[in-house]
Amino acid sequence: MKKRKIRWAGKMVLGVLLISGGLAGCKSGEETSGLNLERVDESRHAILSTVPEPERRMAMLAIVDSMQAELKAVGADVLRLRQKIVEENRDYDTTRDDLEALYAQLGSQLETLTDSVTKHSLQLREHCSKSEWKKITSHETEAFQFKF
Amino acid sequence: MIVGALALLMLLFGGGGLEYHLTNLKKPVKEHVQDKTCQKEIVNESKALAKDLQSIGKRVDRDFENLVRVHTDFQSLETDFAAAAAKLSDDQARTAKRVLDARDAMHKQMTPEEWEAVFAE
Repeated sequence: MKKRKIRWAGKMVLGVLLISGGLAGCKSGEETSGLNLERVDESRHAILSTVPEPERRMAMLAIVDSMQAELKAVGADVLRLRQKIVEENRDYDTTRDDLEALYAQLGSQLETLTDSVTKHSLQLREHCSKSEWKKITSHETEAFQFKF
Repeated sequence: MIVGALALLMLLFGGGGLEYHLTNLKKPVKEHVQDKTCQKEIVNESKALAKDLQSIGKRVDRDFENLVRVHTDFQSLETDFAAAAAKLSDDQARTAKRVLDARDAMHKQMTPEEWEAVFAE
């Protein structure tokens, strides 16, 4: 991956845009819960255009579907926790322990997210060659090439 | 694929305004906190928190890019993912501690009535 030149401020702008898009953008009436489905669809298109055999394509698309389902569940829990943190903060009597417990739950959701990415990334590679993987993931590298 | 999770990661780290209620307090504090010294302490803490969150944000930026790098590397191993994930977990714990330290510092400077008026907005 090329050296990144994005500044955090720029990434935050991107994040807010993605969050806005993720929360507002519903696909077939589904709540996206913070997951950017357009980006996930880019991976589906990359698989379809890179992998010639239908069997391998289907196997890889099923893995992407699985990851999407897991991350949507994480997103729903994260949104609920964020709302709870804001509400608890408003209460003067909320203790540090109370809030630490909520932030710890956010930490658990982060672990679920990274576990899901790990599992599905490794599974996908079992169905493709090194050169195919490079093509399939190339848009993910490019996604970080924005300049602000 | 993983880039689709970037927005979700932002939500996990407080993006989208989670800590807005602690980092943008100047107006409600001036309005609802009576003691001028307390006002100054709270606003200074709020500014320091905003600055520190920016600094932590740079680490998150770097560590998420590292996770993407591991994901796109065909030869990376589960242990590489674990190392990248551990850095992000450390960032999240660091963020939570800094936010809670700021809240504790602000809490000492306000009465229950002032607190609820400030955060009611």
